[in-house]
Amino acid sequence: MTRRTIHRGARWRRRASQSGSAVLAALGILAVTLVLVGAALSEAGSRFRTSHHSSRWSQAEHAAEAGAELALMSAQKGSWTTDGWPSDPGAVGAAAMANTFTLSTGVPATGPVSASVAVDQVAIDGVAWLRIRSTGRADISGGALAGMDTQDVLLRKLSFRQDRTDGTSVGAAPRATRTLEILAEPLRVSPFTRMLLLNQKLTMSASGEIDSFDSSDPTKSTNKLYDLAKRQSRGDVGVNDTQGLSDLNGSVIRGDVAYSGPAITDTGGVQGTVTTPFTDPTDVVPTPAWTTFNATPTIINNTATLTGSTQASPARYKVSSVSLSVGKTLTLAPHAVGQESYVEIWVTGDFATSGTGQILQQPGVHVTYHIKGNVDVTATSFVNQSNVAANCIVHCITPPTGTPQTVNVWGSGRFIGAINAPAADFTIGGSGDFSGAMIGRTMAITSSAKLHYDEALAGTPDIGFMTTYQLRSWVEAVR
Amino acid sequence: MTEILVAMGVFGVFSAGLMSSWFTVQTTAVNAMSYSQRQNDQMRVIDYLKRDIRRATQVAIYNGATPVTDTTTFGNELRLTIPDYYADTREEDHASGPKTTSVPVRTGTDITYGTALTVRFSVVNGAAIRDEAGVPRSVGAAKDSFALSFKNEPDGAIRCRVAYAQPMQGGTGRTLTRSLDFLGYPRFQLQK
Repeated sequence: MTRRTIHRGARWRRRASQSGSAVLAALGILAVTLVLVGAALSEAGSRFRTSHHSSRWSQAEHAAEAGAELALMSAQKGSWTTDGWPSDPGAVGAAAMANTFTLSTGVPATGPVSASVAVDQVAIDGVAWLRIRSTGRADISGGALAGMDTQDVLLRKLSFRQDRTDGTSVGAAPRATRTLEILAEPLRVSPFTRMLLLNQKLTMSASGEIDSFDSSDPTKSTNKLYDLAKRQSRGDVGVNDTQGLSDLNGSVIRGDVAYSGPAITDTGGVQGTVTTPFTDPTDVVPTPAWTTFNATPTIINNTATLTGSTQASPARYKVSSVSLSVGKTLTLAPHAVGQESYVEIWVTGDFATSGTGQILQQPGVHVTYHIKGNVDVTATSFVNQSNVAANCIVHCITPPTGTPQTVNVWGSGRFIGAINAPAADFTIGGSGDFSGAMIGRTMAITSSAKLHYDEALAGTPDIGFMTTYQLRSWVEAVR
Repeated sequence: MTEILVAMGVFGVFSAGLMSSWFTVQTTAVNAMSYSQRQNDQMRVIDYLKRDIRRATQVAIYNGATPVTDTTTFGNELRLTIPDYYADTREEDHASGPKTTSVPVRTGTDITYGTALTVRFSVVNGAAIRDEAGVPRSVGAAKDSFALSFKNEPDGAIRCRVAYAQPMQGGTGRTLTRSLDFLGYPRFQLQK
């Protein structure tokens, strides 16, 4: 072996040693870089996950609110089964009925979002309130990993293994859940929001006229009575289905006319707007559910006096019919002079007056009639000395489907009251003067009758059967 | 000898560059992680505020002990009255254990559950504090140097300003501040 050969061998060993150091250094730098990149990615992942959790947690609340609003909407409309609920809410104590709404269908770039809503009734101060419990769910992606901080876990309480609201397994779909509880109070509302509300056709003679006044406003009435000099233009008319036979014959209507179905003819006298479509379903008038009432009289066909009572405990009478002919007077008297007094009369048959037969309703008396049969009266027979339509309410109980019901009003007197007969066919003859409002199936005004809508009726909720719900409480079940 | 000196010089420059890069990367990473954590804390504080304002039945803003009733002044404490939905004395958020609810009672036109709770949001020594019925809990860490301020809006909303000041590493006295405003709407305002 020569010296050159030995020298070459030493250089080769030195290069080999240097080459190994470079690899180690590179690996070390790579490892450090990987650690840093890994930490950054981990941090970014956690940050993204927490942000995602927060977003879905908020969406779960929105879903819960949407579910509660949907239930409340069904309650307001009374359309539970139509809206897909299994039934109406049962009585207080009955099991809650439930429905689930998928809210993410057709919504792009979102995960599953739904609301499970349970509705029942609870007694509060002896009244059945609606209780709506709505749980919103929003599925979360990124696996079953909690947030970065225990405070996040405490706040959002995500369901990674089991749904924390019902204990069911979430499988591969962890989710955020939020639950709301809403309490809504049932309230009655006045059905008399316009002069005429008809389910079907309306015909008027050319000399008929409709306008309005307000018995509660002295600038729009005199002594609570209609005053031509103070008349208003809110004599609105609504017809749900004109049947193609509705004709105003140019009658003057100081208000708006709204309808659905074929166009109403000869609307030239309408001083407001004529619009279509129109929908305002009338409510069924129920049969009273009283079990206690005054034993007498059992029929009203002669002169008699019925005495009222307090609003909290009105005097109730149940009679088979009312028939007041010439010279017969039914007097409705207050239980104490000068007091507001309340009377309810349930007539299981027909209601008729003729000639000079009359009902004398003394000042301060509020009467509500519940009439199962037909009504055939003269306008002069109702003497409402309160001068307020809201004090004389006539409810005609809705008969079984297919059973006809008629309301005929004749003569030239002044009728002050409101008639709620959504299944009845009205005929108004003579030159009577009507202050109040009417709800019916059809109406034919065959004469020069004048109809004046009392705007105060809309603000008198106690006279109606329609129920709406007022939201009184909104709480979140945060556990 | 020259060869060794040159090699040492090159190595020194290379090492200095490497160390500088390392410290820069480390500082940036620490700042980024810190920023991430603070944003996370800020998000949590906002979520707490949004949730509690939404379910409050009364809202009051204070500046120290002075109530703020106008729509221009910011206060530093938010006091919320919240229904005591659960019939026990545990903090509302503590989910383990019974979840028996209080019976709703009507008072006038309002409904109450149990004895209403007062929840306060304020800052103590840089930490965002949520105090429920006298029991304080930090919902945003002290190191975040939080600042909370609240203002009544003309439409009834509550403007909440949640800010933090993050001390930055790698510089003298540098801080990164991030402030977010949002409007909270108490649900009770929508139901009346």
